[in-house]
Amino acid sequence: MIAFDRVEKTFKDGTAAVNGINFHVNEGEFFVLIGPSGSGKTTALKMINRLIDPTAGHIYVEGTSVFEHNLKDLRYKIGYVLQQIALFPHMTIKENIGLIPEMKKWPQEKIDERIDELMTMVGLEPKTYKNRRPAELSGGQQQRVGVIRALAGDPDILLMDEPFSALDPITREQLQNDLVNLQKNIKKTIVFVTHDINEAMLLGSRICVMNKGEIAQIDTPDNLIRHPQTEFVRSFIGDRRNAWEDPLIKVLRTIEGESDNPSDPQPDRAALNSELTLSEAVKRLDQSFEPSLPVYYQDGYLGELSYKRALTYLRSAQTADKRVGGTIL
Amino acid sequence: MTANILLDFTAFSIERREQLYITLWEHVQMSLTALLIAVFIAVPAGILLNHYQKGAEPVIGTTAVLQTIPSLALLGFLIPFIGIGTAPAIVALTAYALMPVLRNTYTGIREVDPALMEASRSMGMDSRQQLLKVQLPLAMPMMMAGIRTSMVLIVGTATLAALIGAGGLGDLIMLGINRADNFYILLGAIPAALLALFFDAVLRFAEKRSLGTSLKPMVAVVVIALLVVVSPRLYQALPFADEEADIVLAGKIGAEPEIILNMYQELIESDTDYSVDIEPGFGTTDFTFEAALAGEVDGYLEFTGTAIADFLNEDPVSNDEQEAYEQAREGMKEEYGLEFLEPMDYQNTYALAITEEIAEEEDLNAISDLRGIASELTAGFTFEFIDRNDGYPAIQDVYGIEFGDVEGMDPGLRSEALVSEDVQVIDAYSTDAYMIRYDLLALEDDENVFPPFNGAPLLRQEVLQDYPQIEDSLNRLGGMITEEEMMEMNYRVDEEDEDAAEVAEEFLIAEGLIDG
Ligand SMILES: Nc1ncnc2c1ncn2[C@@H]1O[C@H](COP(=O)(O)OP(=O)(O)OP(=O)(O)O)[C@@H](O)[C@H]1O
Ligand SMILES: [Mg+2]
Repeated sequence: MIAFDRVEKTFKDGTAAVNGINFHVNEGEFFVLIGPSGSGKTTALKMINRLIDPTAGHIYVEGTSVFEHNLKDLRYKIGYVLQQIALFPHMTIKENIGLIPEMKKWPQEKIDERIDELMTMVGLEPKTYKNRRPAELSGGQQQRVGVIRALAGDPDILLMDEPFSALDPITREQLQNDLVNLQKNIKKTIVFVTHDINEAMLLGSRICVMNKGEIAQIDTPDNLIRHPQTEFVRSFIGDRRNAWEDPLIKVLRTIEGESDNPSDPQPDRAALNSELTLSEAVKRLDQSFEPSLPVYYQDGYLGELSYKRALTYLRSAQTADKRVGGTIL
Repeated sequence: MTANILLDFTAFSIERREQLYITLWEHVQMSLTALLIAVFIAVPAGILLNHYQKGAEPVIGTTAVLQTIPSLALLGFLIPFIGIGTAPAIVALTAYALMPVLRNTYTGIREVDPALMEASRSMGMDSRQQLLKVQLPLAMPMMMAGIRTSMVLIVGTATLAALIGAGGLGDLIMLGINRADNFYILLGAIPAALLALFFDAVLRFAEKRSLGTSLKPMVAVVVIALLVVVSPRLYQALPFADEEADIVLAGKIGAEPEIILNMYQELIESDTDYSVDIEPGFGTTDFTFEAALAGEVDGYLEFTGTAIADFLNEDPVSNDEQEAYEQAREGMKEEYGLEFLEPMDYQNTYALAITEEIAEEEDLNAISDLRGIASELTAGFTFEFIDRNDGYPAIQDVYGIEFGDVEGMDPGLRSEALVSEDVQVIDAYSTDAYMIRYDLLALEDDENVFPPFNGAPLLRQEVLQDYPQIEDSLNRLGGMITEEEMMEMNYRVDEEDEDAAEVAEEFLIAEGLIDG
C-alpha cells in the first residue's frame, strides 16, 4: 500500500531529518512510527502525502510513485490528522467535515448523509453539534471531528501525527479505544506517529522505531518487547519482559484486588489457567478472537483477561519500574 | 446665548441645505471612489505579497512613506502631473488609503495559523481554494479594519481637496475661512466629522459580521460603494441628462469672482448660441491658472496686477492702468498663449484700511497722513502683503512709513482684529465686502505705490478660435462696474447672502447689457 525505498530528506538548512529509510505498510495495517523528538517521524509521514518532498529515494502509494499521482487525487486518497487538530475556526463542524466531499463534488445529499454517519460513529450527536463552531467543542470532541474530517472523503489511507498528545489522559484513552474500534470497522491503512510507547503498543499492528532519521527496528509490539535488536530499542521501549512473564494470578490479583470472589458471567467457555504467563495468555486471547477470556485458579473463577487489562497491568508495572529508577522513555 | 447661536446656525444650515447636499454628495463620491480604487489595488497586492514575501517589506514601506507626506504637499506635488480637480484629489486620497488596506491584507493573510494552511494543503486544496476558503475568510476582520481606517482617513483628508478644485465639504470650509464666517466653516466641518463617524460605524458593523464568515461583508461594502460612485455616471449616460457645454469658465474662490463669472455666462448665452458651464469657487489663483493652462477650463477672471507680478514675474512698467493692461495682455499671450479681453473699470487692488472712527479722530484720508503716527500703530497684514515687493516694502520705501508693530495674520482675521482694536491698520482689497460691513475706510494711495489691478477675462486662444463670438460678447463688460458698484455687489453676496447669479443678472439688466 505504501512503500519507502531508500528515502532521504535533507532540509535546505542542511538538517538531515531522514537518512535512507525503507519500509512498507500493508493494506489495512495499523503502522506506528515512534521515536524520540527530532527522529524524523513527522518528516517521514509528510512525505507520504507530499507535504514534504524527499531529496532522494522513492515513495510509492498503491504501487505508483507519489510523483506520478495527480497531487489532488493523491491527497484525496490520503486523510491527514494533525496534532494541532487544525479545524477551520470560521466554519461549522458540518462545513469542516464536508470540505473534502465538497471538493470531490459529491452530491449534497450524500455529503449530508456522510456527515451524520461519521458524527454518529464517533459519538457526536449530529443535531446538537453539526452547526457549532470548533471553539464550542471540548478538545476531545474537536479531535474526534479532526479524525472524521480526514475520513469524510473515504480515503484509503489515514495519516495521523500525534493526534492525541494534546489531550488529557482520560480523553486520550477514550479516543485510543475509539480508534481501535474504528479501525476494526473501517479497515483503513493507518500510519500513526506517536512518542508514547503505550499508545504504540495498544494501537499498532507493527511498530517502526526511529532514531536520528534512521529505522532502528520494525516489528510487532510483541516481538519488539521480546526481541529488541539494539540497546536503543531496549531502553526506548523499557524492559517489559518481567511484566510479560508474570503469571496470570498475579496479574488478576493486581488488577482486581483480593476482594470478593466474582462468579463467571458466562461459564462453559475456553478458560485460561492462572499459571500461564501474561504473554502466553495474550497469545491465546489473540487466537480465540474473543474480546476477553475467563481466568481460573484451580476451579475458582478469578476474573476476565482482556487486552485492555493486560495493558493496564503492563502500564502499572512500568510506572512501578519508573519509581525504582527504571529506564523508560 | 448658546441657544441663540444654535438657532441661528440651524436657520443658516436650512437656508443653505442645497449647497450642503451638493458638497456632501461630492464628498461622499470622492471618498468612496478613492476607497474603491485603494481596495482594488491594495487587496490583490496584499495577496500577491504573501506569495513574494521578499517584496513585502519594500512595498509596504513605500506605501507607509506615501502616508507620511503631508496631504497638502501631496496634492501640490500632483498638480504638474495630473493637473487639478477631482482626478488628482482622488489619486492623492487613494495614495493615503493604500497603506492600511495593504498592510492589513498582507498581515491578515500571513498570520493565518500555519497548521490550518497545512491542513488545507493536506486536503488537496490548491492555492486558489486556500485563498478563498481559508485565508481570506480568516483575514477578513483584519482587512475590514484596514478598510475602515482608510475610509476615516479619506473622509477627513478629502476636505483639503477643495484647495485644488475638487469640491466636497472643503468648499464650505474654504468659503467660511475666506469670508471669516464661522457658520460656513461649521457647515463644512460638522458634516465631515459626522460622515467619518457614520462610515466608521457602518464599517465596524461589517467588520464584526465578517468574523470568519466569508467574503460577503467585503463584497457588500464594495458593491454599495460602487453603486454610489457609479449612479451619477449612469444618470449622465441617460439620454435626457445634460450635454457637455461648449465653454467651461471658472472662478477663483470668493464672491466677486463668482458674480463676474455669472455675468460672463449670462452675456455669452444671451449674445450667442454657445452653452457655458461655470465652476465658481474653483480654487486659489495658482490652481485656477494652472487649470486654464492645462485646458481643463477655458478661462476665468484675472487681474492685470496679478498677471504681471505672479505669472510674468515682471515689475509693472507703469502705474498707469492702460499701460499695465497692455503689458499684461502681451506678456500672457506670448508666454502662455492666454488672451486677456478688455478690462473692467474697477480696481481690486491693495489698500490700507482703518476704521472710520480712527479716521475721524486722527483726520486721516491718505496713506501719507499716517507718517506722523505710524510708530504708535500696530498693523495686521497678510503674510503675502508683508512679503510682496509691491506690498508693505513699497510702503516703507516710498512713504517712509514704519509701523510700530506688524502682525502677520490670516486674511479672514484681519478685519475682526481691526474692529476689536488689536490692530489699527490692515491691508485690504478695495472692493471687499467687509469694507462696508465694518465701516472701514480705504486710505488713498496718494503716492501710487500699488500697481493697477483691473479685472478682465483671461481665455485660452483655442476657445476664442472655436467660439469667436465670445470676444465681442465679453468685451461689452469692458470699462463697466465701478469700485462702489463692485463693493456693493460683494456686500450683497457675502454679507446679505444673496445669490451671486441673481446679483449679476440684476446688474446686467440695470445696465442694459441684457434684456430683463
Ligand atoms: N522545515 C524544516 N527545516 C529545517 N529543519 C527541519 C524542518 N522540519 C523539521 N526539521 C528538522 O528535522 C528533524 C526531524 O524533524 P521531525 O519534525 O521529522 O521530527 P519528529 O520525529 O516529528 O519530532 P517530534 O517528536 O518532536 O515531532 C529535526 O531536527 C527538525 O529540527
Ligand atoms: Mg513530529
